[in-house]
Amino acid sequence: MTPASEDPNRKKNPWVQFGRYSQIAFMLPAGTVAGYLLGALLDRWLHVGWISIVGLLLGTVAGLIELIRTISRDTE
Amino acid sequence: MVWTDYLLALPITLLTLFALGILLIDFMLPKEMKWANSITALIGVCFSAAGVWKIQAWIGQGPGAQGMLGTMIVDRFAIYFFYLFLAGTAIAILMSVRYLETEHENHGEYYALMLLSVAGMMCMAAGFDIVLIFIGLELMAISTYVLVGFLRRDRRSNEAALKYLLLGAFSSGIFAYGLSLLYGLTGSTNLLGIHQQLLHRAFDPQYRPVAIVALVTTLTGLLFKIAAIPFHQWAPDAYEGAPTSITGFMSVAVKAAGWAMLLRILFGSPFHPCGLISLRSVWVPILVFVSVATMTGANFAALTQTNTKRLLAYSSIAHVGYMLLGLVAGTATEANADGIKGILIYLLVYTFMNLGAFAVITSLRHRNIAGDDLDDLNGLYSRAPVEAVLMLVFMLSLAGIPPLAGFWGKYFIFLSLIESKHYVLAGLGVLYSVFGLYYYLKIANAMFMRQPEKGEERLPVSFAMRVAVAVTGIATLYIGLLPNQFIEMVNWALGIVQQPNVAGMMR
Repeated sequence: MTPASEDPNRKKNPWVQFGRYSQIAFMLPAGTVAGYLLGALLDRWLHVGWISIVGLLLGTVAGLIELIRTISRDTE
Repeated sequence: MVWTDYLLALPITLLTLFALGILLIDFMLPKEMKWANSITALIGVCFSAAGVWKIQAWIGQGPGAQGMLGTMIVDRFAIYFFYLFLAGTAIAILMSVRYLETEHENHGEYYALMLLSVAGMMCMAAGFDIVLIFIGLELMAISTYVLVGFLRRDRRSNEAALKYLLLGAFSSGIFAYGLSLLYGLTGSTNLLGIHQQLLHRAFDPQYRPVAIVALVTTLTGLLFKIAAIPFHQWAPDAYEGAPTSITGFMSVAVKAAGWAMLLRILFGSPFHPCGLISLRSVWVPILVFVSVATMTGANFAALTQTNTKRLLAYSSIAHVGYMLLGLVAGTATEANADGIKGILIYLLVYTFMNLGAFAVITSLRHRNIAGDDLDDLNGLYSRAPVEAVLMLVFMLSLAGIPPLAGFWGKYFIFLSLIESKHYVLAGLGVLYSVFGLYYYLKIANAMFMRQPEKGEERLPVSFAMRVAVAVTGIATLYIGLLPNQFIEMVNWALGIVQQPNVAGMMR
């Protein structure tokens, strides 16, 4: 039996394609926002003001790396 | 005609004279000296720029001057666009020298048509009368149709030219119909006269349906020229089939001219609001729809492209979507100044980053390799490291990554949307920008992560092409890192007074 992810009919389904490509748009903003929110939470907990900036940068880098990994996977 | 008329028409006259001069000189040049036509064309561009500078010096601190019985207005807005057209043309000429030799199509008409096309663009940017604007549009469009089909032995080029001609003629017809309705409704072909009549008639139930039909048909013509969805079908085919140097020229200069015409007709002049500004409450919802459709359609279509020229064509359409958001920002009766400023900055930075990208793609054309396939970029870093790194800069800039030039265009447009409380549109714009990053990084992935085909040696890049890539690369980095003077230049063009209390926000 063909695994669901490799099923050619499923791959060709426009809605699946739409969903797959839509997640690209959210990768970078999601990483950025998540990094910032985690940093802000740590800031409040530890009573400092710089972790949110570090979180923001780390989140952006993480989002970018994930995006590059997706591109490498797609273009193989 | 008075002497000021001659002065205001000086840049256009010089371009026309040089275009005719190239055609004459071309007869006398032996085949191996045809490259000299590019030098004549570059001198023509420089002379025309000197003419623009002379007008700029003459108007001094004033907003601008009208001439030719009120049909032409050379204000700071027009001067800004004149410089933009000339810069784009100069770089496109540099890109063309080796390319035309490789294609064995090194004819003088190529450069003559380019200059005539810029003369048309200048009429579009400085037109204050719909007749002059239309004549400028046709001069530009007809020259471009021929340029697209310039590779006579290439079937793709012929097909692209025919498609562009047919669809272009069709859209010009609709546009002319809209303009004739406007004339019928207002009894004037002057943008100020149209505005004064529309102020009364656009809200009179007797005339309103005609006003809306006139607006919709005019807007269709305008949106076709800037290749916004659903009027974009010509762009990918024309971009793919045209000589790559002309694709670059079309994507920046022709597009900027379309924008100058659109802004002129919808807003008039920043110093005398007129044109169709009184119908803003009608055209804004149409533009919201067109803008969202353009961003969605173009970004999704670009994701799956394997031809670089086609990919950049869809990317160029997507950028139109972002720029249209700048027109939407504002209230029902007034546009947001940051939105219009964003469009002008966007067009400036887009000229350099997109031409730079096309310059790199043009340099890939050698021997029997077309160079416009995504696979042709494979391993470019090992074959031409400087070009590959600069291509990465252009791609990141096109995606709007700070601190590169492309960021500032998007920044002002999204800022204007947030200022006018269009949060959903701003959010959509940001999400689609990330989409853009995906397909731009696909190009970077091919250049840096993939191996070149066997037997591929170092890429031969001509001196003129190196100059073109260097100028666009330096401009992309310089505008990105030190944007202040360019923002001030746009403020000057639009007559916006710098606000010192928000200097930190770099307005």
